[in-house]
Amino acid sequence: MKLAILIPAYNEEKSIGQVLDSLPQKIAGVDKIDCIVVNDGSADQTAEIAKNKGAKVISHWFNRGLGGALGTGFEYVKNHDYDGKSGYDCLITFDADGQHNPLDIETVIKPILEKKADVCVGSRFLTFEGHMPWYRRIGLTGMNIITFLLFLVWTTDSQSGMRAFSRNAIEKIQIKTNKMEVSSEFFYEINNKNLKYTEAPIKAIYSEYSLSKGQKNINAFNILAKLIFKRFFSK
Amino acid sequence: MENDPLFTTFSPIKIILTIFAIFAWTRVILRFRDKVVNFKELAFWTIVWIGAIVIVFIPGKTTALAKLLGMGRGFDAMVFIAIVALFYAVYRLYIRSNEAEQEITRLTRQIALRMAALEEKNKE
Repeated sequence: MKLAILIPAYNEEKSIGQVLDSLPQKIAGVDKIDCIVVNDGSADQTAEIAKNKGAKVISHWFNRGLGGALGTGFEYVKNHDYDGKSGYDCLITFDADGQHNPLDIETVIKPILEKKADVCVGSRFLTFEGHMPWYRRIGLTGMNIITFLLFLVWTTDSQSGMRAFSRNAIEKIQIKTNKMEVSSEFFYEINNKNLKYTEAPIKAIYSEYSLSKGQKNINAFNILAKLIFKRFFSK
Repeated sequence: MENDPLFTTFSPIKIILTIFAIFAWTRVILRFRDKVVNFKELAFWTIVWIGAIVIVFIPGKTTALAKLLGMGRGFDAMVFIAIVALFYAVYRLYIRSNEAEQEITRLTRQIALRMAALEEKNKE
């Protein structure tokens, strides 16, 4: 059982080192854990810090956005020394801004390890611990409804950055969007490729830093336009 | 209906459109001389621009168009058609730019993955 922790990072030099240090070295039922950082055209020391911490770093020359970075990570994991045996069995995406609790990784990959699901999203809404600002709660609920209306998958946290995927999902999912709309695109793929979906409760750690890096509600309109385009107009 | 002032009298807009059509036609002739366009294309554009000038001077045509669309004035019909055309143009542009964005991402991705693979090879 080989696990890849995929961390998309754009100008995260303040937090990436700490995040990489905090990741678990051992998880029950996992033989090997690799950290893959997709440096999305950062102008700061993100790539150097990640390399020094021992992570595999893949660097974009230009900033392409969250979807671009995740797509690159998926392609790397998909094709990495995969001969039917030695490839990654599980992939988990993890935010570089320090908003996730590393201990939640075990909870989120559990349904994948037990082969109960292909995709498991860590939802910040299944537990009432951790205080999410009310304005963010409203924005995220709106995105959940939009995601359901467009892609017919009900989720309590469509914009969560912590998602685990089985080998089956890694091979089937194709990411085409570039920016934040990728979070909802995963649900399009789940619906389209008939992947088994489940959720696990995680706790969000909101610091001033992670809030400043997060999405603004106003961005929802932009995402909505892209998603409608994706749903109805793209090939 | 026949007294739509913009198109029945000898109005400035007609003169501007005529001058523009003649200008566009001369461009085609110049390009024909430079052998950028062939005779067939010259004939096509000549018909288009002469046709445009003729249409500009037919009275009441926009009013007829407005009637067809169920609108009161010819000017309204023109604005309506222009807005629809613009919407379509924006839609086409949106698709184009989306496609271009995706292509840039694919390119960036391939470069990044190849560089990473090279790095791994060098380590070994």
